[in-house]
Amino acid sequence: MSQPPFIQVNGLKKFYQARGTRGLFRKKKYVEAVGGVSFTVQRGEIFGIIGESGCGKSTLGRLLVSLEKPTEGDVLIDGVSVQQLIREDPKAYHRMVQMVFQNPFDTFLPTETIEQIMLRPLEIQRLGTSREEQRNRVLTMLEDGGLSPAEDFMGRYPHELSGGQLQRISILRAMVVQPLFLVVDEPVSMLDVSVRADIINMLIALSQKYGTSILFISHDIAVIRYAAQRTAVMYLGRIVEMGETDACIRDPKHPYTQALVSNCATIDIDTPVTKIRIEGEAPSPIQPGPGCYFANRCPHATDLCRQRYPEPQTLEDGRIVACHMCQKEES
Amino acid sequence: MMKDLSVRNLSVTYLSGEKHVRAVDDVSFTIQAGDSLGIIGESGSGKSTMINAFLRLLPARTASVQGQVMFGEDDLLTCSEKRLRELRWKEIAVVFQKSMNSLSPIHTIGRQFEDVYKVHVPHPDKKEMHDLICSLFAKVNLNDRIYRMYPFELSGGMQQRLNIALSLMFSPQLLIMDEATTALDVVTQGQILDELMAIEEKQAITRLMITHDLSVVAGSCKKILVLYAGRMVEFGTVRDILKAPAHPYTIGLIQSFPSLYGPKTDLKSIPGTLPDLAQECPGCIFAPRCPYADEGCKASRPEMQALEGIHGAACHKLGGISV
Repeated sequence: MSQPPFIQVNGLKKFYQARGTRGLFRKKKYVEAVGGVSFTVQRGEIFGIIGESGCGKSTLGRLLVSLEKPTEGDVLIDGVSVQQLIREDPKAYHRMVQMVFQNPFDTFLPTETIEQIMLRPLEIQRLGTSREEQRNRVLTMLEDGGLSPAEDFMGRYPHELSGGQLQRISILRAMVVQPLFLVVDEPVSMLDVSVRADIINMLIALSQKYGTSILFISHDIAVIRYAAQRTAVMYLGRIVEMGETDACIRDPKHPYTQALVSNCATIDIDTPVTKIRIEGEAPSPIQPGPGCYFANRCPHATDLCRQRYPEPQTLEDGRIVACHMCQKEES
Repeated sequence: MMKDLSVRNLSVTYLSGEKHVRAVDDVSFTIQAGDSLGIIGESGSGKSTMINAFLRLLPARTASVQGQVMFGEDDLLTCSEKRLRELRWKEIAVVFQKSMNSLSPIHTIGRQFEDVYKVHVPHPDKKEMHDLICSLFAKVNLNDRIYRMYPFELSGGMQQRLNIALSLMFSPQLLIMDEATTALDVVTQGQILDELMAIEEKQAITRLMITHDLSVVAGSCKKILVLYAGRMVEFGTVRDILKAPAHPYTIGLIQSFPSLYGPKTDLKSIPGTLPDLAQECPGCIFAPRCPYADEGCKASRPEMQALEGIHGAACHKLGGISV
């Protein structure tokens, strides 16, 4: 961990104006989709983001590839601000950062062959000196991704391929420009269990081979466990716990993580787990403060929790936890 | 009265033009009242078709259903429409995957619950009805004020929970859940499953859980049926299936499934894809993807063979497989 962080996310925030509060004289209200998130990703590391629906994990992913403009905060790639990179050369920036979406069935134009689909990023980026070279690059990429013989796939149309194969194409298309940073948003949740393993293994292999940093967004904790070395747990737009994936699962510190992990369905029937019940729903992301966002559902909440949002705290094992109660235990 | 569910030689064939697609092929099993069975299969394995056949929801023109589905004394496939209507919702309730879309957007939740109640209780006592409905909300962790709300005011997860509550209205003996908890968040799903198991203890509900997620079944059911391409490949208790899988498909499925606490072994996919079910398949349906298959597997169809207890698998190579 001695090398400087490769991707550095600093206090990233994204607020949307709440529905029904537009208009000149209306009091404006904001939805805190992402409310100040900071973390770092090393070169070639797979970093996981877990959380329930509505916790802002997808918005975070979109912010990181600049599909959304952050309200506040910045992302640094190798020490250079993304804002600056985009200003100087947007095309070069988009070669550095790529994204893979959840649903592989909707991501491709149905009238294009795999060859056309895979060549498009190279054409846009003007990579390779000749069509021959570009084609070869695509062929190697397909072989790398386990789609062999690659030549067979080149002439096929998206509807001729299975979901697993399409998701591979989706990942390979993003990887063909050899990005430094790849954001994958729920890449396996639409796929059958028996092909999920392939996609996870493929992402791990690609990140090792090309040294690409990957941000792996998922709601499935077991999947994250296999893919990511470190993981951040999000709740209502903020990171509540972050650390080594295995440590977060085996010994979660934040009460929300504890509830999340204990309620996660598992095939390990021999590991006894007592589910921690938490009441109610996540509060509205419109003005959720001032205290800890989890306080109204947390079994350990005190008055302090309801008054002040806990600052992230680094524990002995390098884990970062935002909880008043954890701090007390440490001191 | 306790009723067992017994399925005998159920086959469903979809007829489309010249093609005959055998979506469910000769499935037989029995579950006792109060039991819970998880039906596991990938997309296209015929699990939804199977339960639609139980409930006679398949269009008669394009789907031909053979076999017997005995629920107590009634054969669900041949009993009269009138009898079926009595059974539905009162004794057999279903929750579908996207049943949140089945709520009416222009009526309050309470009104919709009342409507369902009135179908089986024509002249209800208002207070009794209101109390019952509020107790249903409580079962799925929802507040009473939902009564006056409209579906669009609720999140998808809350709507799905409402449908689970709706299915429990008449304390059905058979509860069928077709991917009913798949769309829910982890915490909500865990709590609903716990709640369901608690209700079952009290009321002896038989539950059929259809899902592609092995872990959901592992935590909430007693028995598992593994379906592949419309055929039953393995049946047993949760422990049988997870700890001593016998069929190569089940073994592959478990090896491809990420574990939360167990050792982090390499995940392995099952190579290949589902066969074309319109093609006649005389042998084992899994043979083309099976690492142990030989000529014998392709030639004749394996019968279900009994292993220990209720555990059984349909494979020619039983015993000869080392994991």
